[in-house]
Amino acid sequence: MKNWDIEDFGPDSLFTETIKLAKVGIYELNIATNEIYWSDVTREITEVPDDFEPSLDNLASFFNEGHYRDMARDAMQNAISKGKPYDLDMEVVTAKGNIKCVRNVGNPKMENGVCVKLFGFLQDITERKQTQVELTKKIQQLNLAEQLSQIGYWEWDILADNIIWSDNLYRIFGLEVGTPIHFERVVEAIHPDDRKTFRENAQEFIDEKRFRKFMHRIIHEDGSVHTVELIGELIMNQHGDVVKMIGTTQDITEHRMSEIKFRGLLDSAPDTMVIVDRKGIIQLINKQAEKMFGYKSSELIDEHVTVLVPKRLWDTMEYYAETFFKAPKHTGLPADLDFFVQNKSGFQIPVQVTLSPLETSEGLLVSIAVRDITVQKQAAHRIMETNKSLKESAKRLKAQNRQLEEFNQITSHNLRSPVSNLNALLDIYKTENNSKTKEMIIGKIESVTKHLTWTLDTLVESLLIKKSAQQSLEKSYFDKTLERTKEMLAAEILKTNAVITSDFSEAPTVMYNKIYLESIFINLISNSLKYKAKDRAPEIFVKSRINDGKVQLEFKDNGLGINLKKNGHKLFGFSKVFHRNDDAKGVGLFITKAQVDAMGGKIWAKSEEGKGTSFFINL
Amino acid sequence: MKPVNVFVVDDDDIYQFTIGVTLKNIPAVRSTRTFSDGAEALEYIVMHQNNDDELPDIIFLDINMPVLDGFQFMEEFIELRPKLNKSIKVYMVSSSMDPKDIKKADRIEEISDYLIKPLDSKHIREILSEIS
Repeated sequence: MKNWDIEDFGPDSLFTETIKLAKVGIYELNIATNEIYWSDVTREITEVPDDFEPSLDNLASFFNEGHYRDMARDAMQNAISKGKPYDLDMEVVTAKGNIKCVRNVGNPKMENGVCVKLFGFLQDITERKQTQVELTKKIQQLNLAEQLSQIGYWEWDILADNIIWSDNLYRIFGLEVGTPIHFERVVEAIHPDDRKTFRENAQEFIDEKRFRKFMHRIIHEDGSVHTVELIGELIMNQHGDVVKMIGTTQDITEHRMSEIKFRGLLDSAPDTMVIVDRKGIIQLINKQAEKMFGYKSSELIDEHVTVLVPKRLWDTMEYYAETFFKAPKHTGLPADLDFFVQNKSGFQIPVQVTLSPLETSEGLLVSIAVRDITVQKQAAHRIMETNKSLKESAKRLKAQNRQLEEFNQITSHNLRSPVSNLNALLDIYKTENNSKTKEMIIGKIESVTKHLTWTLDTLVESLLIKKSAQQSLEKSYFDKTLERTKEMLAAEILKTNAVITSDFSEAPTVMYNKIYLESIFINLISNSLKYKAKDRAPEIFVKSRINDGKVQLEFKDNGLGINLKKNGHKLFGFSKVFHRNDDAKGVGLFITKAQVDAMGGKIWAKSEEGKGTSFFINL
Repeated sequence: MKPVNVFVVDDDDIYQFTIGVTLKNIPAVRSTRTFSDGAEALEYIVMHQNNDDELPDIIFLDINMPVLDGFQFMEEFIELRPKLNKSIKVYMVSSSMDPKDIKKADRIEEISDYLIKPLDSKHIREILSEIS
């Protein structure tokens, strides 16, 4: 065994053990003998076989020709000839052909200015080196990512007012990398209009210990304006005081520009637009929406869309939202759905709503178009009103027309005929010489005049009926009305042996014009008495009932009956008589109908000749 | 001029009287019969359908009458007419100037004319001179 200085410590010494653990390999070159010693670790690093003997001749094979071989040779020559120590990071090629990174440190031992020995050690730093390389690579990737996503990282030591920026943040701000940054320097780069908010935000975050995402604009030295968005968080010391703020700043100019474009588009839409997410949270509204709802955009964003809808319609809204999300497509809510929105002051506005899906990077949004249809509703309402009043006036006109026709008939016949009679009588009177005949003619003139007066009186009466219909509504009991009628017709009833029965149990009373009601009873019952069958005593039955919510009266007799096929159309006409009867003036039913009409009711008859007649009246 | 039989069908007794006086003063009129409604007149015609002397040559028929009015009378009369040997002219007479009545009368072929009351003597003479 040769005596190696390095082994002075002894092979089992603590030092030797330690350097083994540290994976440090030792070597020693004896200049006088050119002999080389390699420790076990050195042999391990170089992966040589056990019988390998290192020598100056085979050392070169452990370095790739070129850079590292030259480096090793130069270092050794300098150490040996000039006594210069070395410390190199370099690559070696092991006996097995693997490349390893090593730290190669050498120290020459000088005696009288001449190198006698060279001590050195090798340390395998392949792993560390690899980590370093990877780290560098990662940093490069991160930088790239920062650049690509236009994001920069910052860290603000609030107490020292020292700000650290990532390289890319400098680029975002258009500043030279490495420029010293503090709070006021940042403010300086910010758009003058945004500086106040920026300061306020910073103060607010510190006070509230909470960072809120916000945006501001910056101006580059070339004058270009960029919009950035900041996300961050606060670092507190053990006392809970905010000491640091860290975060990222992203240049969202392009994103912002497209948002501005989208907003412009949204604002130019004629309808109110509200954009909500899947949960109904409002993301964006346009100017029209601000106008319609009376809220500012900032008041509505992040609120649930229900704030805009009256409570009673929440279920309806949910139903349509669910339907929409089942198959998101452009959907108009049904036009006949009475939907309303509610503005800030609680006023409800009738609207037509359309839902459209809006695919975004943040997921599916719903764009809700809301159209105020107050004017349409009002117009529709007005049309309905107009229609109603048109119908009413048509009805009124029809009724008036009928009345006019009736009057036309009355004047053309019932008034003309007595007048023509008078003329004829006067003509005869003038040509007649016989004084007796003349006297008779005067008598006839008298009776015609009476008839004319009666006709006029009746007409006036019917006019009054039409005019004063609704004046005095009173509760009338049918049984009492019938009693009074019987009293008034007592003589006729006695004379005809009439039997009058009644059943008012279904509807004992009615709110009606008392005088008309009595007149109706008297007219119909006296008609029944007047037009009784020759061979039998009159039997009259009066009944009241409720029909379609209205009180209906029925007067049924066993009298002569009327051929309604022949005479139905003139049953209620003026001066229409259907039987040879001295009393027949043909005015009772005319007046009765006028009264029933005036009260808004209806009268009609059923009859069979020889059997009897029933009159029905809807009061 | 051949004397004629005249029927007046009208429920107005004053009219019956005045037209009676007028007709009495027209020589061409042989006889005048008055009826208060269409049914009475129809009954008489049916009873005397084989006795031409009793049947009218001309009827002045009112519209508004009880029991059987002028138009209802016409329906029955048109059915009856083919059985009669005599041609009978019917004039509708009414104080009504209601166009509805006039049109209705116009549509009935068997009605010679529609006359409006009062009828003056001159007019009646003209009509009678046409048929006699």
